[in-house]
Amino acid sequence: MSTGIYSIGVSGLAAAQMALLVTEHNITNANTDGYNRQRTIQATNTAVMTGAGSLGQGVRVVTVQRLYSGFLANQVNYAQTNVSQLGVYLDEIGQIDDMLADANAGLSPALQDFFAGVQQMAANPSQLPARQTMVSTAQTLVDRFHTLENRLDQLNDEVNGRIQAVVTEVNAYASQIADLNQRIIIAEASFGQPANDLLDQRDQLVAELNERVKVTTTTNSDGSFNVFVGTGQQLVIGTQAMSMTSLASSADPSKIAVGLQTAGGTQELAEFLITGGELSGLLSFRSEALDTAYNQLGRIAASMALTFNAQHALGRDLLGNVSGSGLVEDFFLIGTPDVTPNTNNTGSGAISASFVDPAADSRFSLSFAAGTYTLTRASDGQSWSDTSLATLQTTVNSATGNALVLPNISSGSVDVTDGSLFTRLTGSDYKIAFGAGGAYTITRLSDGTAVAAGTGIGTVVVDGLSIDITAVGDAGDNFTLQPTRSIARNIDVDARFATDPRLVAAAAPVRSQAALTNTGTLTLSQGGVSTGYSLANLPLSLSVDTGAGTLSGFPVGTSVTVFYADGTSDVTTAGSVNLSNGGSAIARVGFDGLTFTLTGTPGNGDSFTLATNAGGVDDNRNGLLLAGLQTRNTMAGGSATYQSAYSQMVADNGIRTRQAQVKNNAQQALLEQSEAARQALSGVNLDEEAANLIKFQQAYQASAKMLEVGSRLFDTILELG
Amino acid sequence: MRISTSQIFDSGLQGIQRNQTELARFMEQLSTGRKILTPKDDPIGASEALEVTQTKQVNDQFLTNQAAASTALKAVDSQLGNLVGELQSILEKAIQAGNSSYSPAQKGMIAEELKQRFQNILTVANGRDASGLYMFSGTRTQVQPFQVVGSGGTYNLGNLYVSYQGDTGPRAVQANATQTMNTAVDGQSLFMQVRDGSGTVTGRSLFDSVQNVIDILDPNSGVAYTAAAYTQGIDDLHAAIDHVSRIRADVGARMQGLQSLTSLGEDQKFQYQQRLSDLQDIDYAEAISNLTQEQLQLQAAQLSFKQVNQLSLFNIL
Repeated sequence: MSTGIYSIGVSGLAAAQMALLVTEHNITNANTDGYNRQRTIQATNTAVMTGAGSLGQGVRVVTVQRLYSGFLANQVNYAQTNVSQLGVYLDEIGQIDDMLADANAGLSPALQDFFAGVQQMAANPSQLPARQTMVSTAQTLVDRFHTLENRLDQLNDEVNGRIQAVVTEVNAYASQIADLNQRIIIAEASFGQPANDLLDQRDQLVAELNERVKVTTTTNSDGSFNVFVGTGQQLVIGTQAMSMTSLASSADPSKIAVGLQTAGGTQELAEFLITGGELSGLLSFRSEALDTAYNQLGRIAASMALTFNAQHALGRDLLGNVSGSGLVEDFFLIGTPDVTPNTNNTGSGAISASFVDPAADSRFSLSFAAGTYTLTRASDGQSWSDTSLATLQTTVNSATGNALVLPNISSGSVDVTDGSLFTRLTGSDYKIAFGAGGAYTITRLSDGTAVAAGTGIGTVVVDGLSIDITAVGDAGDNFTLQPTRSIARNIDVDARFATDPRLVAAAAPVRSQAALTNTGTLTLSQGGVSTGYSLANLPLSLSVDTGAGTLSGFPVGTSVTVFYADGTSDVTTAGSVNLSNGGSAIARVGFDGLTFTLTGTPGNGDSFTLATNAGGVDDNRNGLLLAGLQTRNTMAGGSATYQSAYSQMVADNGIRTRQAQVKNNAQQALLEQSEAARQALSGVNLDEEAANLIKFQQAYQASAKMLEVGSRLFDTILELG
Repeated sequence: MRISTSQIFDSGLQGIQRNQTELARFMEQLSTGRKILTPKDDPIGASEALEVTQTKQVNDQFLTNQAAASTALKAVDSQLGNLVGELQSILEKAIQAGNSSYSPAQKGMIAEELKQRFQNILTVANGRDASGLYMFSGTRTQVQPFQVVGSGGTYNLGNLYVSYQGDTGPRAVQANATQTMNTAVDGQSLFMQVRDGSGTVTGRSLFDSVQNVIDILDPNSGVAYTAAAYTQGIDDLHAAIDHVSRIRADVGARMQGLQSLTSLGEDQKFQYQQRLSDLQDIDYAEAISNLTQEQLQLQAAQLSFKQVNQLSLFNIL
C-alpha cells in the first residue's frame, strides 16, 4: 500500500512540477510575438481493479497543449493582409495627394501665370518686354510640368525599389518556413508530441509573410505544410522553398513586376494574381494611381501644346512671317506617344503613333454630287453623307462635338470649319494585339473597350491619336501604347522664342481696308483665318455694284461661301456674290480659309482691299485668341478646359485617397477585433498565470505532504515488532 | 471572455495613438487656417476651389484689361478734345475771314494763323502715346500715319493734301469673357473719311477741308477766293467738327461701358473671394472647440491607461 502512496504522490509531484514549468514558460513568453499560451493536459493513470473497487493510480501529463485556433489565426491574417495592402497604398497615394494639394507648387498657378503673360503680350504686341514676359511664363509652366513629372518618377522608383525589397523579404520568409518544416518533422517524429514552440514560430512566419503578400496554407495528411501564393502558385512545398523574383515587366520595361522561379524558368505573375499584402498595395497603387497621374498630367500638357500650337500657326509674327513662309508654328515642343513592344514578341511588327492636330480634327470638306451632301473630316478621312443638308449638319455636330454651320453648296466642294480647337485624348493606355495573318485589335486599357480592329499595315485614327502600323507582327505579339505618359517630361518651349520674342505670332495674317472714297456705311471686319488658309489670292480688291446688287472681285474658280443675316447661304465660284438674299443682307463672306463679316449699307462703287497685314505691328487678333484658350473647351472632345481637367485629376486622386483611408480605417478596426478574439484564446494573462502559480504550488505541496504521510506510515509499520 | 495582458496594453495604446493623430490634424488646420489640408479631406471641395481660383484670376485679368483700356481711351478722348478745340478756333477765324470788308492782305494774315493751327492738328494726328506708339495709325503703330503730299489745286479724296500711311486695324483688349473693347480710333475713320451731320460722306478729308480754306484765304497759294469755295469750306469745317464730336461721343460711350463692366467685375471679384473662403477656410470657433475636445479625450485616455496598468496580481502576492 505504501508503494501505491509513494507512486501516486510522485505522479502528483511530477504533474504539478510540469504544470509549474509550463506556467513559468507562459509568464516569460507573455510578450513574445506569436506565442500561444500552453497548458498541461492531465489524465488519470490506468486504475487497478480490486475486489474492493477500482483503485486510481494517480495522474500523468498527457501532453502540453497549445491554445491555438487555426480559424481565429486565419481571420487575423486575412485582416492583416488587407491592412498591410491598404496601408502601403495609402502611404504612397498620400504622396501624390500632397503633391497636388500644394497651392503654390501645383499646376494651376503656373497655368494662370502663363495666360496672364499671354494677355499682357496681347495688350502690348509690339513691345518686346511684354513678349519676353510671355515667353518666361511659358518656360515656368513647362518647368512646372517637369517638376511634377519628376516627383512622379521618384514615386515610380520608390515603388520599384519597394517591390524588390518585399520580394527579397518574401523569399527569406519562404526559406525560413521550409527550414522550420524540416525541424518540426524531425521534432515531432521522435515522441509523436506537437512541437508547440516550433509551430508557434512557423505560424508567426506565415503571419509576417502575409503582411507582404497574401498566402494560403494547407497541411497534408502526412503532416507536410504547404504555402501557396496568388491562385495556387506554389511558394513552399514541405521542406522545399521556391523563390519569387522581381523583373522588368515584359509589357513595359520601366516597371518592375513580380515573377516566380519555377523549374522551367522565370514566370512573370500577372498583377491580378497578387492579392493582399504590401506587394498588392504597391502594384495596385502603381496601376491605379501612379500611372493615371502620369497619363492625366501628360494629357493636359499634350492638349495644351497641341491647341496652343494650332492657334499660334494661324498668326503672323512681328517679323511678318506667316504659316508656310518662315513662321515658327510650334510654340511648345512635345514628343510623340510611347510605343513599347512586348519583350516576348517573336515577330518583326513595327508601330508608331502621333497626335492628331486639333485644327485638322475640326476641318471638314463639304461636297455635293448626285443629290447627296458628303462631309469628310481632314484628320481621319471619316465621312458622313445625307441628302438633307440640315440633317447632315445635326448628325455631324452631335457625332463630333463641333458646331459646324454648313453652307448651301450646289456643286463642287468647299472647306468648312467652326474654328474650334480641342483634343480627344483620353489619358488611357492602349494595347495593340496581333492575331493570325496580320489581323490586329486595339484595346483601350482604361475600360477594356476594343476601339479599333483591322488587318495589315495601315493607319488608325482613334481618341485623338494616329496609330501607324508599318509592319505586322506574329500572332500573339502585342504592343503597349502609352500616348501621354512622358509628355509632361519632354514638353518644352521652342528655344528660338526666348532668343527672339518677335517670333511670337500675336497678329492675324490678313486685314481689310475700305477705300477713302467709299460713300456707303458698309464695313468689312479685319478678317479671321482658319487652318489651311491661303494668302495666294491677295491683295484683292472687292467692289460694290448696288445696281446689280453684287459684291465682286473674288478670284474666279475659287469657292466663295457667303452667309446672309437670316442664316441662308450660298457657295459660288463665279467671283461675285449677291449683297442680299431675299431681303436679308449679307453677313459673312469667306474664301481660301479667310472669313470677313460685313455690317452696314453699301454705297454704289464702294471698294475694299483685302491684303496681308504688313506693318500691323500692334494687331493682336491672334494674341486675343491665344489668351482665349484658357477658358475655351480644349480637352476631352470639347467638354473641358485645361483647368477643369486638372481639377478633375486632383478630385479623382483625392477621392481615391479618401476611399483608401476609409477602407483602411475599417480594416484596421476589423484587425483589432480579430486580434482581440485571438488574444482572448491564446494570449497570456499575467494575473491568470500568477493564480496558476499558486494553484500548482499548492498541488505540489499537497503531493509532497502525501509522501511525508507515506513515509510516516512506513515508519509506523517498521516500529511494529 | 478573457483578455490577455498584451491586449490590455495594446488597446490602451491604440486609443492614445488615435487621439494623437486627430490632435495633430486639428493643430495643422488651426496653424494653416485651412480646413482642406490635402484634397483627400474634401476632394470635391478641393477641385472646386481650384476652379474658383482660376475664374477669380481670369476676372482679375479682365479688370486689369479694363483699367488699361480706360487709360488709353482717356488719352484718345483728350486728344479728340484738343482737335475739336482747334477746329472750332479755325472755324471762328474762317467765319471772320468771310467778312466782305476784309482785304486780301487781312485774309492773308488769317491764313497765316490758320496755317499754324493746321500744324497743331497735324501734330495731334501724328501724336504718340506713352509707349511711343502712334495713336492714330491703326495697328501700324510704328509708322507715322500722316504725311503732307499735296502739290496744288483743290484738295479732296481724289487729290489728297495729306495721305494716310496707317491701316484700319482695331487695337482691342479682352474686356470680359464675351466682349473685346477697341482702345483706339484709326486715322482713316477719324481724319480721312469725314461724314457730315446726316451721315453723308463729304468727299474731303479733314486736312483737305482746312487746307482748302487756308488756300483760298492765302494770296500766295495760287488758289483764287470764290464764294462757292468759301461756303464749301465752312460747310466742311462744320462737318469736321460734327464728325470728330460724334467719334468723341463714341469714345465716351466706350468709357462708360468700361465703367459698368468694372463695377460688375469688382462685385464678382468679391463673390469669388467669398466662395473660396467658404470652401477652404476653417471656422475658427469650430476648430478650437474640436481641438479642446480632442485634448480632453487624450488626457482621459492617458490617465485611464495609467490606472489600468498599475493593477497586477504580482504586486499583491
